[in-house]
Amino acid sequence: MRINTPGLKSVAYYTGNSMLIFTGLFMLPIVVALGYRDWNSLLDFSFSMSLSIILSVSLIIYGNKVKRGLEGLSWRHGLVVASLTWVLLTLISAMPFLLSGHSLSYLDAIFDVMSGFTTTGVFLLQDLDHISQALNFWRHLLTFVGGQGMIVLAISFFVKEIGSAYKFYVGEGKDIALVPNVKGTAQWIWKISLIYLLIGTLLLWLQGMRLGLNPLNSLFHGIYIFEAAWSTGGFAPNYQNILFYHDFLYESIGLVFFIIGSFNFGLHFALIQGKYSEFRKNIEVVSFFVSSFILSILAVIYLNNTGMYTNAISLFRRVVYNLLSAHTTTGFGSIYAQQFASDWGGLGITVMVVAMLIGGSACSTAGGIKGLRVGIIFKGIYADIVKLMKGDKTMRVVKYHHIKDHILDDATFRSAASIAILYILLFTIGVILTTLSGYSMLESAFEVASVSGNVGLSIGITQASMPAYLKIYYIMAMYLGRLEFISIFVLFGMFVKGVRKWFRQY
Amino acid sequence: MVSTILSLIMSIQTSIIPIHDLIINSHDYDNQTITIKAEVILEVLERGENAWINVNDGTNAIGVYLPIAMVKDLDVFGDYDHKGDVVLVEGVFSRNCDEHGGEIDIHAVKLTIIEEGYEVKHEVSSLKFIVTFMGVTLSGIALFIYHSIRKIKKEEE
Repeated sequence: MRINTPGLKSVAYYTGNSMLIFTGLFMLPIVVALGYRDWNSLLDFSFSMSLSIILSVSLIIYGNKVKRGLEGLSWRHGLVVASLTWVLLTLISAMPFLLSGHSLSYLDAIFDVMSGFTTTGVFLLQDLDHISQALNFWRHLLTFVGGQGMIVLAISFFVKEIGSAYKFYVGEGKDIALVPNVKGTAQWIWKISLIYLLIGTLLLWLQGMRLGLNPLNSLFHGIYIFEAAWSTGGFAPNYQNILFYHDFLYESIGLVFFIIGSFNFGLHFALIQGKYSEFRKNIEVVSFFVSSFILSILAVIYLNNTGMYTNAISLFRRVVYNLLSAHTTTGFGSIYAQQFASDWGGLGITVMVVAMLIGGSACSTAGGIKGLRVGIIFKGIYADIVKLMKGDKTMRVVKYHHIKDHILDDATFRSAASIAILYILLFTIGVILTTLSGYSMLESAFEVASVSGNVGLSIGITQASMPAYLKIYYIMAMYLGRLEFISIFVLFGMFVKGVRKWFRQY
Repeated sequence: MVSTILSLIMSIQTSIIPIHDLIINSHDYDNQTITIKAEVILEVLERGENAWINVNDGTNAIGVYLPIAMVKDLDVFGDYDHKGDVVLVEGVFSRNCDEHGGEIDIHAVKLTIIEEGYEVKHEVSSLKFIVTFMGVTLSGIALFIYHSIRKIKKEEE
């Protein structure tokens, strides 16, 4: 079969370019490895970087004849650039995990990278307390970059504005325009994130030293915890996650940044422009605070009644903290995974599942169905009920506020409901598969809500010994959840079409 | 004499509880005096006259709260380059420690170093070096080709 369609060449050319820009990030763990004189990690990352360069340049050479400017690139191909870049970068970025010897298989390494990129936070890595600084740096860098988006990173570095870059951008699950051009928008997303990176790292570094960590360890831990919090990722450098620090203030700094990180970049941009009223008017912010309040109250009352947590500080640090971590899809755990199963009971777990499924804001670093969609669906249903109750035959305009006032039309409602239904479907299939593997329904619901909502809290199911088919499904669930289905469906459709064409020819 | 020592060792061994068991059976061990054997990780986190150490026994990890005087003999802490001191911790286990905001922890009453930590050497295999060298060389060639393509394309435009 001759594969030389212009569309495919365009996909190859821009996928290769996006990958090549990302490849530059390998230099950071290489510098860390050099600083620690860690020659094994240095070789692992150098080899992986070489592979990435060779693959990227091969794609660029294959698609070389494509004309720059991309005005002719279809939506279909634009979306495929995003989803294919994610797949190839996951395969390449998993190499250092495998070469370190801390991943038991390449599948486990891919699982961890997909978890990082999608800001999920569950992991299969072995002996986390003894991994190299370079590998820890890489894990957290992946989650930081994945939160903003690899395509967003690539667009920021494109030499000039390209006509259809918006199609890649949408393919990565983002759709907000902070400024009129997409390159400017991508650069703003990075500016906002890097400003917070400096502030957050500084605060955590100082607090880490106050806790007794030496300055260098404290600095690295500050970077890691910030990156995981801001990206709502949930990775941490040590096995005990946020419990490692035994400190309310350290946890609280993380809490502030993962809540801020779960907000829409459009909201951040509006606040930077001095539009402070946006904070109280925005449908996502309202939706987040209302659902957080209701779910927290439910969980606090229930777990207080069970006698598990009896004072206000315990209830905040162990219940509200975990609930907000779940709702923002972060995954920092201030209790052990097994405690959810043994101590939280049916209602406690159900509340967490609901929080994880709702998730954070659209066009943020968070996952889940998203507050914007939940707000739109509730508002749409409410408007329909009011209309029916009043028997009103005149047309009523329903509005919602998200950066600006929007009219809630049928197309908007349908789009929000479609994604929500796809999430529920992804969740349901995962629960069935996990239950068939021998876990209880509630435990399965918790774990699958966590992976499909890109949360990262675990009830203890995710471990290296779990069946391979569950690992594969969870990888797919994280990927579909993060890119929000459409671009992956298009990639899959193109793949099936290519295979059919191949079969017809031979 | 030998049999007495052996039985003493055996009794200590049998009373050691894996951290994972402590956590999944936290109701049973709550407020009980227990013994764990685990490696000390990363650093001591000092809190005035007390301190936290984090220990990992391979099944899970947990925080141990203890007077600072008890950690003075700890010398090597586990990380990538070190296998940390292995300690026997005897203390009171809490599934919901009131003093520490509901955390699962152990308040130690006794800490004994039973295996001294050591530096871990990470040998670099010559095969890894050769393969990486080849990869870096090939990627250098690929980057040269990439730059040539860009140059030609710019001239065309």
